[in-house]
Amino acid sequence: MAGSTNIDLPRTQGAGHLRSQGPVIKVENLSKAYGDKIVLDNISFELARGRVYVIMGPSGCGKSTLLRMMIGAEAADAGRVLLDGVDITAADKAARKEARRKFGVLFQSSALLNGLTVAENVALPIRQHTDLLPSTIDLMVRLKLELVGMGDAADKFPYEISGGMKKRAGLARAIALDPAIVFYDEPSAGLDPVMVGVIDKLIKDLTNKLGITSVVITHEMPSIFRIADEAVMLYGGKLVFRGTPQDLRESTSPLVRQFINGDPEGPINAPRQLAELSERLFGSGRSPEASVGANP
Amino acid sequence: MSILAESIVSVGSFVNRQLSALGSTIRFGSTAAMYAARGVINRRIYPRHELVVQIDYTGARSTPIMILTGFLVGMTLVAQTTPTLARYGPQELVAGVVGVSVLRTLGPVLAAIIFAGRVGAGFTAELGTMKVGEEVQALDTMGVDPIGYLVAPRIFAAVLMLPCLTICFDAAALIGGFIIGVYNFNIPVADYLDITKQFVYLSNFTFGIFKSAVFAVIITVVCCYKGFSVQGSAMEVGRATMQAIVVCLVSIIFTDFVLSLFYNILAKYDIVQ
Repeated sequence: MAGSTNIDLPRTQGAGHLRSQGPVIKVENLSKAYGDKIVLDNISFELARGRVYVIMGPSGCGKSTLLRMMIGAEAADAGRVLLDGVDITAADKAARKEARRKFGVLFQSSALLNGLTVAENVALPIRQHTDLLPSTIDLMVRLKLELVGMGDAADKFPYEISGGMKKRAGLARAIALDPAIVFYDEPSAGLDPVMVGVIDKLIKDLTNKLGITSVVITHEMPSIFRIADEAVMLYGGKLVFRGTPQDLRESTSPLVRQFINGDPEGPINAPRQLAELSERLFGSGRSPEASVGANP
Repeated sequence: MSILAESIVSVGSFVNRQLSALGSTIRFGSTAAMYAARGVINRRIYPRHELVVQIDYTGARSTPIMILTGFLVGMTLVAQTTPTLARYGPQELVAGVVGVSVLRTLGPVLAAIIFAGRVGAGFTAELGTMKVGEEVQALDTMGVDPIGYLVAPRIFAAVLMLPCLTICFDAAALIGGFIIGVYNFNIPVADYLDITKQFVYLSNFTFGIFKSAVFAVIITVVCCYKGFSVQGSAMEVGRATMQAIVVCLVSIIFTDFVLSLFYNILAKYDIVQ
């Protein structure tokens, strides 16, 4: 299973055919708010090709919103996202469709279509974007499935396979068109540690062997240290850290230290949220502990 | 703000929301209808096998329940109407009453209501679940238009199959009514058939079929729109399904009323009988 990822592949540029030699993704002064809640506040960064970037941060810090904006699924209030030089936040339908050939997405829930077999799921983007013969498409599908160790499950339906297999099938679909960039939304969510390791290895192998740029949204610290070439941390809608895993380990920032150590106490406002929750549930002046311990 | 002003504001806001939802639904339906038509030529919009699956789901699998309910409706109609008619005149007239009411209104409306409950609710629940499971977003990300891929074949199949199901419902209701009329109320077979022929015109049948095609569009667009508007949790899927069915039922009955008025206008100018 995991061994199947060791297929020696030629380095390809991918069908994404990147036009520019500069950064693959350029996020410029990106801002987003939902009502009064500011989710992203003037975020800017650049991502180079052929590297694994991890975007991390506590729940609700805007990671998924940032991902949706980077794939053109959500509009920005201000700023822009340049994907291979094309502003995907302002692109028309045709330009967006063209830009979408350059990237693949592995969704948190894998998002395989339940009415199609694994092979049909992987074939879907190929059929949509190319005029290849069915036999050629079949060959490409088999290659992608072998690449993620799913060759034997081609004819199974998504509801017949495990969570880890779904992730790998979703990954095969994400790379079906040999994209230049693959976005991963919480790829290890709901998986056992061994399967997390398998997925991490796949991400690393695909990046190295296919020359793909990988953008991984996660808060799994072991994964971050295993796969990241660089990590970006968001908190309170702002970019609070950018650096290598080594920089992350050595960071003296209280925010970063609390996050990587998983401390309940610190500048990340989990305690405040807990206090608010306690007040809503039990009224002011009573802590949850006091209420639980109190006799009726 | 006074209570009156607050009431006016809340009513205005409610009307505004409903009109906005109506506009969005019509826009959604127009896009889906355009894709359904374009998909006949362009195979990339939706695969042929998806259309076959939907025809099977909406049509073939709904046929038994349509025949069963149609049969029961026809029998009930004759069983309840005949004694009343017998008090005021010849009971054989029940054949005409049943024929006209089933073909013009009861057949298309009841078939549409059953269709909304069986197929429409399924559309909302399925698409809502796909929305929650990020499948709709995944299609969009792959450059596949979700409305074209998911909604267009459903509209196509529904417009094709609901009129066929209505024919099944009509036929079953007429046969059910005939059996009760002849065997329970001892109406002679020749009289029953003769009265039916006298009362029922071809236009009653064709207008009923036209209505069922209109209902098919309404049911599919409303149910798919509600499925696509699901956000968040699985609980939202249930709520959207309930809303879709309520909207469908009201829309079917309201549209039937409007089309009946339209039919009367056509009859007034002898365009139909």
